[in-house]
Amino acid sequence: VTSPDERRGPSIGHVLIVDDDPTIQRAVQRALTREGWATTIVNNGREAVAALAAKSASFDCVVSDVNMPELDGYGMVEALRAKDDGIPVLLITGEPTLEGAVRAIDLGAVSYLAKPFDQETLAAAVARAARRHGVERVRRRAESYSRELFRDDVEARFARALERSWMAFQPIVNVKDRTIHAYEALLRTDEESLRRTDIFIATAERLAKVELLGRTVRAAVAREAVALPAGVNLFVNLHGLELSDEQLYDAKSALAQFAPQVVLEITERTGIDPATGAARVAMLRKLGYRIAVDDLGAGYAALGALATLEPEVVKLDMSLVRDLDQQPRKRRIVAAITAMCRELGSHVVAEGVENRAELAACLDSGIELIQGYLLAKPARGFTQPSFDAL
Amino acid sequence: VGSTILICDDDPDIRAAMRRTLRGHLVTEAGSPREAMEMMTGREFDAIVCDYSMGADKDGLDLLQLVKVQYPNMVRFLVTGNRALDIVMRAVNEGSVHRYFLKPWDDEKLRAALDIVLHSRHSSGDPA
Repeated sequence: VTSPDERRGPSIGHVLIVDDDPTIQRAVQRALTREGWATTIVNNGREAVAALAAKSASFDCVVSDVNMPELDGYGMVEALRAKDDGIPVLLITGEPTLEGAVRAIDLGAVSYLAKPFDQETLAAAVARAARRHGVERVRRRAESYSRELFRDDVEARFARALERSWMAFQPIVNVKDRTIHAYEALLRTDEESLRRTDIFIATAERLAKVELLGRTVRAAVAREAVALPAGVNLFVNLHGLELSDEQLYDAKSALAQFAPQVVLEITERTGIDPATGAARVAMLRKLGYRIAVDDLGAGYAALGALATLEPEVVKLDMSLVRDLDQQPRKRRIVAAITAMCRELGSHVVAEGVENRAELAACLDSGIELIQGYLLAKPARGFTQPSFDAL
Repeated sequence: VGSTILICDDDPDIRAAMRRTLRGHLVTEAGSPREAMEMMTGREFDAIVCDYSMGADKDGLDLLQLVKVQYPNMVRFLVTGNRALDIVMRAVNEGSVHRYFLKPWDDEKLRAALDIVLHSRHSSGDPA
């Protein structure tokens, strides 16, 4: 390995020249030093791979012959890519061929130039390649740095959120009988940054901790279920990914002790596999749980779930309930869905009912099970709804 | 889940054959560079597979060069029956294509190459 050419003072970068022909070596060197590049010359691909692997190596670009003894230009690029070295390589050849050029593309070489080459063309190609490589290198370094920083932070916040999590309960009222049909358990946390439940859950998804979150929720719900009034059901949300958690099917688990009172709410947001989904739901029923399809009408393909899961309960998304009294078309849709669900043997719950007009429209559409701020906000413990609103 | 792929070729038979090769992916067809550019303004694609000469004012490499500038994250494949050396040299030196295939292409090789390039770009950004 010859030493870098430093005759012209500080260089704009460092290029590795790989060629077994001294005439070409010199021609390439001349073209590059003229532009301010420092150069190092080696005689074949094997020497080049070694030079690039050296700890002190700080090359911006490689200009290499194709045909060389020991290891040719293609072999050299292959060896570099195998080591995940993305340094740009310009190939120069005395006999350009179609196959050679295609191979250069496959290997990710940035140039395939024919000898004799034009000095300006070579210098321009080197400058372009080195610049792009530099930008890419900086970008990757910044990305991996911020990824690590961010991940650390997110993991710590998620752990805190889990530790400071608690369950709120919101009643689902049978407005015809004026009785409490059930309470829905809703995840809450006192960790400020993850207070929004959708973000809390999305964070669990990103950290692959959905099972851990689900287990925590089920254990917390079971602790509170002891105080649940007799004859009242408990709705518990189940994330699609939790369906593959073995603990869910453990008859000795804390929540399973309350299974006959528990309705598991499943959203299709994660996409339930029709084959395994149905089998898993069957296992849950064997334990005594009932199933609700959540958020029907929220834009997920939940209609399919009515067929696959045969739910005991269907919960209409609040987007269908909102302003139901003012939108005749919406009312017809809701009435049709309600009739269909009844035909399929499912109870229908309207979520997010906020005022008397919406409540009246729900009743008109044949829905008797109502959940929403009008009757009660989610709160700690099993609070009484305001039946006065009825 | 398959990737979204735009195929651009002026020959409907070739498009149909390419669609078969790319089964499992979500394929959209364009019959000219102009049509391809219009489709790309409406939605995102993971990759474009295009022909070289399409009887239009732009050739396949012109199109891919435009794609490279406007949609740098898209994977770009050229598939051509033209064996001229200057075309493939232009393809390398302009850095406009990720893979260069000659017609008739090998189904398995093309599918595998597409999977590899799509995957590597997913994990590490633009190799070119």
